[in-house]
Amino acid sequence: MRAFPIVVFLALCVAAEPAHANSILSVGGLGEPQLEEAARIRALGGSGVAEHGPRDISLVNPASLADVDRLLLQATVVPEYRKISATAADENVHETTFPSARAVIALPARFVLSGSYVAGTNAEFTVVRQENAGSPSTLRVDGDGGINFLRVSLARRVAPALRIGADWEVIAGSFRETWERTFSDSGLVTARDTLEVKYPKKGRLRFGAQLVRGGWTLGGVFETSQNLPVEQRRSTPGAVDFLPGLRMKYPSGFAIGASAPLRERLRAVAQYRRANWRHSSLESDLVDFRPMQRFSFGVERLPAEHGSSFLERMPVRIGAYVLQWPDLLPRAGAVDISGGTVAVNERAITLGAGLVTKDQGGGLDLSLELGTRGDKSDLGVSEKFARFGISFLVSDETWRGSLHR
Amino acid sequence: MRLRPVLPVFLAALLATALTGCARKAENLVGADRLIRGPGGLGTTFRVTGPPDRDTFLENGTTVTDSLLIVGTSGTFQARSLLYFSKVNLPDTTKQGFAPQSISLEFTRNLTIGPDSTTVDVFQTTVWDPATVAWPGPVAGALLGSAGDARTLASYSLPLDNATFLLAVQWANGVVSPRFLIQAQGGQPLAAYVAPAVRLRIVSSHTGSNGAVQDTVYSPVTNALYVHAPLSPSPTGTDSILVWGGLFETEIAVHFPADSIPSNVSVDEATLILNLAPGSAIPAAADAPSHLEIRASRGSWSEGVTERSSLPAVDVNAAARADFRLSYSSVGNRFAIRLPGFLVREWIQSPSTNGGVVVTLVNRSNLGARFLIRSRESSEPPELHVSYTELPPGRL
Repeated sequence: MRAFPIVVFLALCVAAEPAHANSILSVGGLGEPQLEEAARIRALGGSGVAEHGPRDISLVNPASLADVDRLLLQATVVPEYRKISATAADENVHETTFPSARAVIALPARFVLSGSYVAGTNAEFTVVRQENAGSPSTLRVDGDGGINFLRVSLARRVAPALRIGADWEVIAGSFRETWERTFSDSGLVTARDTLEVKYPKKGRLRFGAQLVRGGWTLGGVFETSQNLPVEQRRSTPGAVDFLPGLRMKYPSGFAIGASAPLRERLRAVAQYRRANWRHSSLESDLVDFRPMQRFSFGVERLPAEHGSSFLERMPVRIGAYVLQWPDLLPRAGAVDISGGTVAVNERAITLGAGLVTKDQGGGLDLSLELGTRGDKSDLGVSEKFARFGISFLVSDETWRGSLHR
Repeated sequence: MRLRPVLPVFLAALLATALTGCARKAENLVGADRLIRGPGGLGTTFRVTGPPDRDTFLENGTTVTDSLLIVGTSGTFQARSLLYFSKVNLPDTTKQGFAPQSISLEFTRNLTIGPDSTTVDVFQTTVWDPATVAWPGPVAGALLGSAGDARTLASYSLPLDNATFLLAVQWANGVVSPRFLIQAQGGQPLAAYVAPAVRLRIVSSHTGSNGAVQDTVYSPVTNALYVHAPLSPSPTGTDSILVWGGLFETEIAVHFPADSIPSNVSVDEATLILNLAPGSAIPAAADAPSHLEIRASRGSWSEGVTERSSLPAVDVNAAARADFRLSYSSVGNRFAIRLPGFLVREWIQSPSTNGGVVVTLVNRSNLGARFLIRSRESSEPPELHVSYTELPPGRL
């Protein structure tokens, strides 16, 4: 029985395919930006930079790990339901994302070490459309991939009020599209081609700090940049072709935020996060860039102490965020960005709750995000979405191990 | 609250959610127009058609080892057959009153060609190798027998009247090689037989309890083939007709330049069109067992070649096969033969290895039919149709 949680956790990691969101707006550019946080922070609009505690960890700020005093495993899955509206018709689709997984262990000398998988962007999509260029055909494009990160984190509380941490993360992932063209003319065989966009895996550093005073916390993170040569390779049986090379500068960025007490069991959190994407980050005719910005805000009613009712012991969270995608996409009907670009803005309200084990070692957090993005008049399509975040946190306390100090 | 009792429930619910959520719809997204990839669009499918810059017809040697034996003469075509028995079975000579009676070769006629009666001779020959033997074949030795073939019934027996039982014993013991040359007497018309069905028959008798009893012993043939005179008339390089099939079982060799097809495309289809000329045979029910084989030649050749062996580096294995009759369309009176896309791909990638293709008729049961194909010098030359699509445009 003790091994059961680990077995199921590993099964989850295998079963849940990584990065399965497929916004129709991710068929170009770098894909849909992902929020890597667990459901607890998702329910707070994504405001995690000022979070800290034995189990209140955030994937945005490595310093948030500093108070962990045991072994933690955390994974999040996000089933998503979307309604896509275009000028001609609507459609409902669903998929599941796997935004992050993390393992954390407390080391001697008050150091905390962590390894994690983090989804950056998501370029999962399927498009079926009729083509009439030459012989009529039905074209189906299946896109996979996106930008992902493999991250190692180290954190320590260096003073009662100061926590610091650093991440070394590898910018990984790739984009792959399978193009299957079935012709109306039965004499033509189905063409199956692939398009791959790759870049070398390079690391970058992230630094975080938190200042804790009373019930107040200030947090900040700085992310360094990295240059990545991009290779676009397209192939068909018997032929491989390389498109002219591009250079992508994965930009620097930062996040700042705070957590403030409102009442005895009520606190508010806020965060501003920015990645400095710009036109020069990747010069392309098909996509332009602006800084990615996420404005997050949330309020949490903290769980009551022991002895209260079940509902009183359950935390309640509400929040909201505004996300400005970095991708500036061509206008509807345009073939590239020469006719102007349109920004994608995403707005959502969030809410959630959670269960914590009696020993405070683990728990289950749930979140619900209801939002919209896109613009039917300029982009030709808009989306409404409902994301249901499920995060599970287990520790050595959960199955009564002896690893914690 | 202890988590342990509810832990399995939570985990099971989490796992179920993840699994069901991962089952994606193969959706036809209404926003497919957002697939924007530049002024070139998403790739265009082109179709190009071109005539060959070389074509000819040729024979694949003068030795044929398929299921047929032919002897006799038809126009410029002459053929003789060769047989070899690796094991000759003898009757039991120890039986009381044993007496050899007759030795013969037993054939099953192939009546699709050679309807006229002919006279066939059998000669003992020297040793020949089926892998290297060629027209005119080994020198005829002693005449072993001769018989008329009326070309009526399915079976035909050719008695070896001049072969003694002692000679049969020598065949069986390996003292004399049991190899035979079968040919029609000078200028006599064609006769055809089923090669694997040939048997050597020895009839004898012995004395049984009720008098004489006849015994028959058969030996199946090991090698059965025929050789024919070289192709005549041979191609000149400027013929307006390419002869395909017929008694010489000629093949079509044709070369198309592929320079006009870009290298970075996906080949969707390639079809070789061969147009029949007036007066040509037309695929019929008798051609039902026949099929086509397409082999690639890997080097340059001239139109003066008459033998497949003169073509450089013809693949041993066929690149494609097709049903002969299904490849023919009475609309337009032409053959449409699908070529594999990878072959055209190779021509695009490495033009120096583009030696064209050799198109062969295989397993023919209607050898009398000659298919006359219009050459590149005619008004309806062979054509190569190729459809290709540009590769996907870049994402970024």
